[in-house]
Amino acid sequence: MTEGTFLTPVAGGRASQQIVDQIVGLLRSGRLEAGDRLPSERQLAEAFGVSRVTVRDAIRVLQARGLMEVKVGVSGGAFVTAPSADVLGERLSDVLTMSTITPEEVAEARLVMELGILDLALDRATEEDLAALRSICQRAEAVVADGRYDPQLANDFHARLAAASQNWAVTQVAESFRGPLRMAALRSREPADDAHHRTVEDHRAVLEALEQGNRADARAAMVRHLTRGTSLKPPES
Amino acid sequence: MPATPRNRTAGADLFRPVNVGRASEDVVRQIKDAIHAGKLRPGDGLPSERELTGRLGVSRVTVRDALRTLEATGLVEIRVGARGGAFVTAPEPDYVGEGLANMLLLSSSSPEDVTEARMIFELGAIPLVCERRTKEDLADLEEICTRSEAALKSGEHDVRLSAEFHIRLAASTHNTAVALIVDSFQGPLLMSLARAKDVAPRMGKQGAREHRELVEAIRKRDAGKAHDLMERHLGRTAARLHASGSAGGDVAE
Repeated sequence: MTEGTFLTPVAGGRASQQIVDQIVGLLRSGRLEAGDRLPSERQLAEAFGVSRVTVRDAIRVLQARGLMEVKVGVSGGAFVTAPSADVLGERLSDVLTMSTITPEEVAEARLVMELGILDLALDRATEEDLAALRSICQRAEAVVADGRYDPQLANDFHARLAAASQNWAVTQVAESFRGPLRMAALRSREPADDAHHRTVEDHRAVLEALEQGNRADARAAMVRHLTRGTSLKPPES
Repeated sequence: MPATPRNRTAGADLFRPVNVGRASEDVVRQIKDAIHAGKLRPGDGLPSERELTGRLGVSRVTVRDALRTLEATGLVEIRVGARGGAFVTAPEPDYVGEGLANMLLLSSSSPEDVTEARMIFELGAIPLVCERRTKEDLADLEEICTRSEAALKSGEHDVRLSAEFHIRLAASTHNTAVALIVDSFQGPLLMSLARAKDVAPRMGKQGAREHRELVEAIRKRDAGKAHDLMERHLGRTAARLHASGSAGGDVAE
């Protein structure tokens, strides 16, 4: 970004908020893009006609929203970044936890998402995707056979399935929402041992149907997996 | 063994800035955890800066930094005056949508990809809507259709009405999480509208007709038909955006 060219001095009110709004506007319109470096604090202060403290305040707000990354050192400065999946997931968590939502509703939303992803994966999964899913299932089965459990592998299974959509936006959205739509509240109703065994079995069943390109079986396996321990009736489609 | 004193001042390059950010991140995390656990609800006041400083064993600057971050994301409101202080607030309605828009727009996702992600939730909502829709849901959806048609007749195509239709449809799932997610997709779509509007007007009429047909299928609880209608309806948007070279989807369907 060339310094100061499309920045206008701010007047009155909460100056740092106005700076945030201007910068967000530039991001939205594509005039500032991920990787761009902002002018120095001093230059920004001049361009906006505010103090450096105000500029610093605005940058901190942008950082908190995951839009800006501040690097220190010689080649440092404030850089535009695309917010990570975590930033979005955190927001959904914030809202869901402040509302009066039931674990069943959460499970149902998760089911909607995973069935949509599964449909895309059934159309598009490559040999490489299937090999990666097989490897994840094998590792998870070995861990469970050993009397242990690795929740990361369960997460990896769903992440890899989302990637098989070959759609980056879908993969990112799934990455963001999987956390807030986690099944932990429901799984904790089952004895841990059972839950772990059944999760790896469920994943394997989804994978086998996916390998055979059997949409009905794959969907049924996913529905079984995600409605387990709930009073949910699978939606008809 | 004591080091031999050397008459030398260490260069500034020997030191790296201390990460004051981490302590404040930790304070943010603790407050958010309390919110997520339901221990803090919207409207609740946080302990004073001084109290937090003492309880968390951090400096006042760190506490202020953490509160400013929470304020920036819209979870805390800082009021000044005699009854001032930091209060937990319910996030703005567009809180999730803004995060989604920022993530997808700044990562330059293609309009087709974004529409496909949106379709996962809008198509997935259809069977739920067909099963659970109430008379009131149907009446509200029809009312939006009527307003859209009137707007079209008077030569104004208001895309916000289209967004309103999709949001109301999702609310008919009677699932807060599904409704919230569908709602959040309306944000990035609205923003890219400026870039797609040159091709939007002629789509208004067809879009309005399809909304009517959707309501009819939902009334009959015909999930298969409603699914196909929605798929075509949203799919066309992606194709149109592709043609116009815009990004981020569109609500003008």
